[in-house]
Amino acid sequence: MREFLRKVVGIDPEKCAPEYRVGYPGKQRTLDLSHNVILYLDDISVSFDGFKALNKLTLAIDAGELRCIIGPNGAGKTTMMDVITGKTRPDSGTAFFGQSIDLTRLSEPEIAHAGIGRKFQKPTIFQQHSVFENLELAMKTDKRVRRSLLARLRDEERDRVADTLRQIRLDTEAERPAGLLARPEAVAGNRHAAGAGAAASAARRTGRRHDRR
Amino acid sequence: MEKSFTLRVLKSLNRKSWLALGLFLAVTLVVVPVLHLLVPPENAFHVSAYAITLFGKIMCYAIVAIAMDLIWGYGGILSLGHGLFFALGGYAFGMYLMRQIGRDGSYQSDLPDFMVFLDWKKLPWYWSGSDSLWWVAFLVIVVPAIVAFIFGYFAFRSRIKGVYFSIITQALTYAAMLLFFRNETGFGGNNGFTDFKRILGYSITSPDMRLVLFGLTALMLAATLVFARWLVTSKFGRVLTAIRDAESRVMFIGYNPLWYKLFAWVISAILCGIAGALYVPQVGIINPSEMSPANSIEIAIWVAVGGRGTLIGPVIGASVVNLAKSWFTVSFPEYWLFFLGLLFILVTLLLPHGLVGLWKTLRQSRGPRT
Ligand SMILES: Nc1ncnc2c1ncn2[C@@H]1O[C@H](COP(=O)(O)OP(=O)(O)OP(=O)(O)O)[C@@H](O)[C@H]1O
Ligand SMILES: [Mg+2]
Repeated sequence: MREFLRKVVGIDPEKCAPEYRVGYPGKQRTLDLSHNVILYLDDISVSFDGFKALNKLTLAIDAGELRCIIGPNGAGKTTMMDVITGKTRPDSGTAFFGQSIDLTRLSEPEIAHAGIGRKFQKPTIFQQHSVFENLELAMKTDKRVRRSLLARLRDEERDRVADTLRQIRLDTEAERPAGLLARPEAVAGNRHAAGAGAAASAARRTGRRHDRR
Repeated sequence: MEKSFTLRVLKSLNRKSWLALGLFLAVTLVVVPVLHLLVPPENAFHVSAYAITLFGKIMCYAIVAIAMDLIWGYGGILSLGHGLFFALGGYAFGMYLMRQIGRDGSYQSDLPDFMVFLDWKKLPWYWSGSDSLWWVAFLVIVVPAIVAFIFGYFAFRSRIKGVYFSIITQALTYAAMLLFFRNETGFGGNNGFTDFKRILGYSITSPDMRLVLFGLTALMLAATLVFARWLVTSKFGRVLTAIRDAESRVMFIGYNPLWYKLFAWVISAILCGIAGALYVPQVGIINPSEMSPANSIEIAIWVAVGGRGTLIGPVIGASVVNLAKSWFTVSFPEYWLFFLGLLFILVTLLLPHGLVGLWKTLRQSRGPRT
């Protein structure tokens, strides 16, 4: 199980608890895991025009735990992910990351900085950007306007992207537009493109949720 | 870490682009002045005052087109209200030009003629300081920036996108036009500002002044190109195009699109304001029609014709469309708008990447030379 987590999902369980650092370099803080619960949804309800997509959902996930959410189409899996990542605000209920981060009060980018990454049901990549740039944009760093205007990629950041590229075996494709990898007729290319999306989130390294069909 | 900032700006253009830019500046700053001042009008090589004004005007439009392309071509935000920022810059500088008329107006008053006509006894508060070139230069930048910031902040924070955003920008410029049409607003009503006489005491109609304004516009266009190139090749530019292509993904990897869009939007507005300020002394008039919705739509057409998402495209688009316009409005004035509409439809249907895209396709089909 530990091997699976480390190799496939990219989480090192030993690194998760008890010291779990979130936020971008320089502004990191330790996630409060005092009750060993990393994600706690309590009594969450979401309705769309009267239709209850989530009805009093309660879910607790421990640090280092891997949980898969399954269910038929329309069960509300994506809606749950949307609540966790800030895209949808629940009508009622609470969602906490660790003991202290209230997810229902944060915006999408703030939640991403808190350490929750997300992969989409429909693979999304920045098609016009090169494979390298896709990883560069996803990498954990200061993502404010000023930094992106003035700072350039540091050597260690370049190395991190290069490492990830090797890991997902796209190092030879680094400079190609990512959109070209996903051409339907190129079956292998397709897998690679999905890989680029996964790798983009892999670069983030922290408490990721996978949402796939 | 920031030590090689200049170097990075230098490296954002390749050698060929720097050469082209150098050539452009040599022509506009040396060749044109020589041909205008030293070659006699009978000579075929003489550059007329008409030509200088026309090309000066087109360069102002080119700056606006680049500004438009930054947010539309790179940011995916279609503004149909950019004429407003252009006009605000123009009006701000126009205030200075009105003050420079001094007592040479028809009423020989210290106040601009239209204020005398309205029986105003003193300048309204927002005209104070308008006799200082520096204060007005400051206003040229700050007024469009503030208007753009306030509007952009609320629009982007409310996540207004696509066609809804475009329509609101049309409404914004239209509302501003109605405001400026009113005499009580204090900007000359529907006549606007005209009959300018001087800048810094020098006659505005002298050949020297004409060349100075022309040269400043050329410098500003070159600077805009270099700046825009640096911006779109920085990480900021990559985030901006990523927002254009997949905004929600950008948010989920931790960027707040609000500030990225707002920064590009305000920069774009400032560039338009500067272009407007350079435009007004060259054409000699500014009135509320610059804020008409159709004017702003025309800006989008320049960019579409030239090619979105490239920097040379908008310059080419603004030049081609406006040269065609100045020919049309002399030969068949009543058909210009039909032609413009037709052009827009044809470009949208046949040339999604504009003239630059066409050029690239032609070069590729002639066989790639590696
Ligand atoms: N924005 C929305 N507006 C209205 N209804 C919505 C919206 N988003 C989701 N729904 C509805 O809420 C229900 C739950 O949808 P959700 O996408 O969460 O299901 P899912 O479990 O992810 O399904 P699938 O397995 O098909 O991906 C569905 O009935 C869906 O039609
Ligand atoms: Mg789903």
